[in-house]
Amino acid sequence: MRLERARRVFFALAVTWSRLALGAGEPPSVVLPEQVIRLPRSPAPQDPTAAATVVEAWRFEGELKGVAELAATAPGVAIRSYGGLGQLTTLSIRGSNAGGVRVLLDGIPLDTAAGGGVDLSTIPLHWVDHVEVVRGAEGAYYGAGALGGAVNVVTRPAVAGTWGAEVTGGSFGTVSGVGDVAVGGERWALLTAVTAGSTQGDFPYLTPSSPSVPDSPLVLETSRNAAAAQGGLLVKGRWTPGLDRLDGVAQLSWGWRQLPGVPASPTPSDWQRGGRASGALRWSRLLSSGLTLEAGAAGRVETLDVFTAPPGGSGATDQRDAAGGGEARLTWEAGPSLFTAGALGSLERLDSTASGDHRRPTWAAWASDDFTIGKEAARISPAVRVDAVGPYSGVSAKLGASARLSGPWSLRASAGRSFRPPSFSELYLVQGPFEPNPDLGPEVAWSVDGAAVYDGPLGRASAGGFGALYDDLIVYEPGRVPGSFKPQNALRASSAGLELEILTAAARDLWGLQGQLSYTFLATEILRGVPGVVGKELPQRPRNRAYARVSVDPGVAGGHLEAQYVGLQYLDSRNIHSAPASLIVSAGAFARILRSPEVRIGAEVKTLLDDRTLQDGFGYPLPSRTLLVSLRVGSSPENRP
Amino acid sequence: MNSRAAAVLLLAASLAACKSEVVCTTGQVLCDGQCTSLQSDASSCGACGRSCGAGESCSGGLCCQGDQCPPAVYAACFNGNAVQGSTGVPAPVGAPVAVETGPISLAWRGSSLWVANSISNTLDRMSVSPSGLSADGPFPTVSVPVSGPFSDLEFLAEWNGLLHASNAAVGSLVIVDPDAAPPGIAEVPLGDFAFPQGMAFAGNKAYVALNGSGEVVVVDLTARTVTKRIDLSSLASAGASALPSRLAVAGDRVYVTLWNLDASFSPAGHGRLAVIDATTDSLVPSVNPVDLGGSCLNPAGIAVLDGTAWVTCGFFPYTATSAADITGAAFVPVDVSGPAPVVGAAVPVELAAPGSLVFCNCTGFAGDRFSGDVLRFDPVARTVTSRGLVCPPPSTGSSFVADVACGR
Repeated sequence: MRLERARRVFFALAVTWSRLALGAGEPPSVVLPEQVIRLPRSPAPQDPTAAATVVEAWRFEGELKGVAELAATAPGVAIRSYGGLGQLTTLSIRGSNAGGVRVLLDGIPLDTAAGGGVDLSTIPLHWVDHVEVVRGAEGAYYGAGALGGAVNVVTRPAVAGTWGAEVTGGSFGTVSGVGDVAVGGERWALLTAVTAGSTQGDFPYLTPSSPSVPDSPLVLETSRNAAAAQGGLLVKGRWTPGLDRLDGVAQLSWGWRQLPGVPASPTPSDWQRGGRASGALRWSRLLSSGLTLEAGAAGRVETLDVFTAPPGGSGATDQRDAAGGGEARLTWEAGPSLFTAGALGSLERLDSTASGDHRRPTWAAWASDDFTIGKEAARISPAVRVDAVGPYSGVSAKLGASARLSGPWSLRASAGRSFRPPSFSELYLVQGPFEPNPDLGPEVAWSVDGAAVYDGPLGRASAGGFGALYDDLIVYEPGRVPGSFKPQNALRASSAGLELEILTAAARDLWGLQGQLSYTFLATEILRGVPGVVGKELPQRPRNRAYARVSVDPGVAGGHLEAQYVGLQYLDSRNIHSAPASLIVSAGAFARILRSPEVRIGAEVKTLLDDRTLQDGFGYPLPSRTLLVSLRVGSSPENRP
Repeated sequence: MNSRAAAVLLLAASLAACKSEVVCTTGQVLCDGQCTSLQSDASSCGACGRSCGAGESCSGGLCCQGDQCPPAVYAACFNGNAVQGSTGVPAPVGAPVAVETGPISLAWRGSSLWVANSISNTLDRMSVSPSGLSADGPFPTVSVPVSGPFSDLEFLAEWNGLLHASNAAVGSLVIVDPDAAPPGIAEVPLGDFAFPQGMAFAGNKAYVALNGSGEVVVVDLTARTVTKRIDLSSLASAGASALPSRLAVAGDRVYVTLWNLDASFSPAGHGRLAVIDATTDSLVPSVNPVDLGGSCLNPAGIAVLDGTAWVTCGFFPYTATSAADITGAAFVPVDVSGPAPVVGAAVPVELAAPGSLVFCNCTGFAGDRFSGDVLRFDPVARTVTSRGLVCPPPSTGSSFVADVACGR
């Protein structure tokens, strides 16, 4: 019995580590079966009753995808790309703004000060082990800012003895090289991974010859000033002396990209460059009383230099964003209850030529419980968190529940509230036509959802509905000066919809066949705003989105075929202008020349149909047919994490 | 003779005798030795000495009270997304017409009043009836496709039955035939970073101010091509940008307001004018630039009345919080009747930044870019005679009267 309790607490520890994304590095072997027993394929360890999807990166190995595209294989998630191939990429979840999605890299919140959404293209895909996508108002678990949901990007664990190297090359001058090696012993492991890549981004596209004339003839153009380059270093390790555990991670990345503008208004001289250095150190101890104590510190520094050439642009803007702090957490397992409480303190600073030098502290305290009933036939998970971010404070709360119906079938539901303090940019940015507004208030979100879940031998599937209310959303409205804009807490909007998710390997005997389908129906409505927009849909929120994929991997070779459908989306709040629906079909194949060590060659064709009219929701053209060839040498799949 | 016929006769008489041989300007007559607009002067409404009653105003030569007055001027209320009629007082009259996002420029085409909506990239048509201004069919009347994350129609004008809009987001002149079904749209590209703003017409040519590239382009409206680019960048103060904005034609010359701002969009010096010879489509030698004087910063609007080009000025930074932050606000007269423009004494304006400017029956009306007021200006007395709130600010606290157009 004591062993069982110890295991449960250790499970809680593992869950917490997973939340911090540091425990993904090979938790003690005794814990793993407990996880399986207690949380059968539970997708979100930090919020066990949430609507969540975990996307494992290895399933997309060798493919032309970024972190955002991995996340967008989950329902409820929409990519906001600004041209593809190394350009700015953010996410929206359940109709939220990009700034309403809390993005964490190994548990470290990214880009909290500047606002506007985290650029996921800055995270090298090679680092990624999996992406946790949690939908709904998740501030109680992920902190202030998670209005639409949260995305936790978890880097690869340090598993001693594994290694790998991969080179890729393809269309439009796209090349990359990555390498990783992990060493260690019985109680420690250290992973080092490097990555570098670049693209010329000079893809062809079709664009109207007269952009202001409806249905004007299309002309063929080539994307210009669209090159990008990126490099990164990841060092991650763990040390487990006795009942203690020490985990650390350090990440260093740098990137540069040209900014092409849109076809009707190209920006041939614009560019940006930036880097990020982040790190975290965590210590934990399993106490004999059933208590687990954890403590840690994390920090990051980001730089972003942007040049937008006059007269259209405002010249050079330099930005330095830094945050650091520490937290402590206590986990207490008592009977059917798994109780967690913690607190953190941090300081963030944004020093920008556009918005000045500002800093603000964050204090937060939280408590949550995961209460199981009747041999885990049901569970209730309440959570509450108080955040004080500078002068803004608020309460985030979440209540979730799940009940096992019969066999692999269960139901889950949750409701939550979150808030997001205004970013420094929204408060203080003075650049070109943008005015500051230091009087802004926080944004608020409420969400409810429920789903029927199948989790059994056929795979995993869920089908459910959700609703969300976003209030006091910050939008830029016309300011005092002609052509100027000023942020205001002016918008209230609702979103509701359906989410369907199926991942099955039921026919795995047939060449290892796997299938995946996700579908999102999203209906948004502006409830408060300027006359003329009330009752309209939020722009850049397609009503229908679907992702489908089939893959085979019989052993020596394999392949996949996938399709992404994005329905019509409006470009403006009055729903006058729209971007048409798009369908992107991609296919790939690989062959294992050797299995141990693995030598694997692969190829992928993205946008197989070579649709050259593709564009994102902001009018930026997207790459047409793109070929990518990769060669990987490394540990055999059986030895890899 | 009924009052309507009398008004017509009076209007004809006033137009014919707009400028007396003595001093009066177009649209005014001498009453007891004073130049007076019989169309709008409540003390001489329709005839010298015919005073309106208490609380009444004079509109079109007829005394009227409050909502009974036909609009003397219409205002594009940018922040309120509406077009509002105003009496000559000025004061709102009739209900505002809700248009789409960011109404920025007005243009009459026949009996229809059109508005260009900057942010929604649309044109809306309104009609005037005895009951007032109203939407002429469902909005938008014309939707101009967007092609990027921003949309920005900046100016609208009518020429030869066609609507001409400057599309700053694309850098083009958009020509719309509203009679076609669906409305026909043609486009003349004006170059990268053009950011076209105001325009004016001479013959079959359109002169378009390119705020971004510091040029005025000449567009042949028959061939619909750019035939000439006139570089104004050298007319700014040292190290500053000219930023041409609005234009007016007088005789065979085109006058262009230059913001003359530095890299931080603050005034680099006095406001300036460029003078273009419309016969050669080149800068007039030895008169450029015209210095509008120290009382004029960031010149915004221009309108010509009887040989005088009146320029509105006023600057306030993006961070302005009150009208007290406005500097260099004035109406500046420039005598353009001779070979060299002569800048007269500026008429300073307190606590307002007049922008768009029209003369209606010899009375000037200017939209304040800050408060939502319309300023009534007497070009003869050279004074701001009154001002009134026509575009109430929405909750954001600011209100930009983007354009004014005479009532019809």
